[in-house]
Amino acid sequence: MSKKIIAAVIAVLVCIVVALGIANRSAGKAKADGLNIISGGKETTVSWEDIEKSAFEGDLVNGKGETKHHSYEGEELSAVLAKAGISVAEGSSITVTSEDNYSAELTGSEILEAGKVYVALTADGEVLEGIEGGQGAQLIVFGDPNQKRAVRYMKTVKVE
Amino acid sequence: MKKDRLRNLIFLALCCDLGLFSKRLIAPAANIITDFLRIPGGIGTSFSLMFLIVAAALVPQFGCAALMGAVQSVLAFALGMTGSMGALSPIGYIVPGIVIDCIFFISRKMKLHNAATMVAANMLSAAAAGFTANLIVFGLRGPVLALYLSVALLSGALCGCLGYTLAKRLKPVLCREMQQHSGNAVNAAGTAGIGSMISTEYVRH
Repeated sequence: MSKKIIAAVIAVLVCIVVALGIANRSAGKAKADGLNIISGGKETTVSWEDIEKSAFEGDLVNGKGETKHHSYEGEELSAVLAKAGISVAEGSSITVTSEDNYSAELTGSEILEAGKVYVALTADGEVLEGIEGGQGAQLIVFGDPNQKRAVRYMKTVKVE
Repeated sequence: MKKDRLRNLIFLALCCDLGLFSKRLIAPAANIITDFLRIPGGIGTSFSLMFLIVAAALVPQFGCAALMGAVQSVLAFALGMTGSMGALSPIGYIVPGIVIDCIFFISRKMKLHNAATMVAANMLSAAAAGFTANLIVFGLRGPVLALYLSVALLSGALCGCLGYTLAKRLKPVLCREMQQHSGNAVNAAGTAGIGSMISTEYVRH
């Protein structure tokens, strides 16, 4: 009896996962190829081509506490936001979300600090791909004690 | 210390290690599925928790899963495997352990001695781990959170079935070991004499 119940529960869960998975993927595909920036209920897309590939480098601390030096190409997040016509105040709250829905919080003062928060398009000479290949981006925050906010597959920046 | 108690502790320690390292082992395969579904995880944890559930089923003592979770969190700290939760990672290890203990406690009280207990324990502990990770790190909302928790529940159910099979196979081995060392007369089914140390309730043939 219990085996039948378990099988039924698994079958129901498979159906739910398939339905939600399709809905989630469709929602992701609907968005344009670039970085979506949301502010004041308005959504703007900055295409990957519009993000300047300036070289920058710095040290990042990984989860094990090891410091590694990396070189990137990309642009400061404040400049990317400016391209979308969004001005950030010191008290603003910024949420960066990836294609797989991982998110990290930033403050306006962090974004306004020169040389701290970047949108990287390449890392150590390699193109940073999106979750399904093609051009993608990664959030780089220098000075963090770990890489918790180094959001891969960067997709959306929400400014509040 | 009694030999059989020491053996239980060694078994629990082994399951702790297996749980901790199996997560890393299964991560590449799990990431293919989670990347496809665009969620930040949920499968590796279910597989990892399976070992805690097998241990909790075979060593029927309240608190052993929470203890294993605590040991895992210490090991994770020591080996720098704290992941995205950082200093809060012990919460992510201990909360599922408490859930497992509670489910086995309720199940023993209600005498629900079957595979359903292990499946339910794996499902709910995986969901609890996912929910904790979401609160601490991911901050998912709406349909994405529903998908993330559904995947945790589904993988928990599948790993629970696998865990039940594993426990069923491990039980005779553990029983035979204990028979040899204790020297007590134990019946062929292995249900007498060792009942207090190795649970036979969850692994009926």
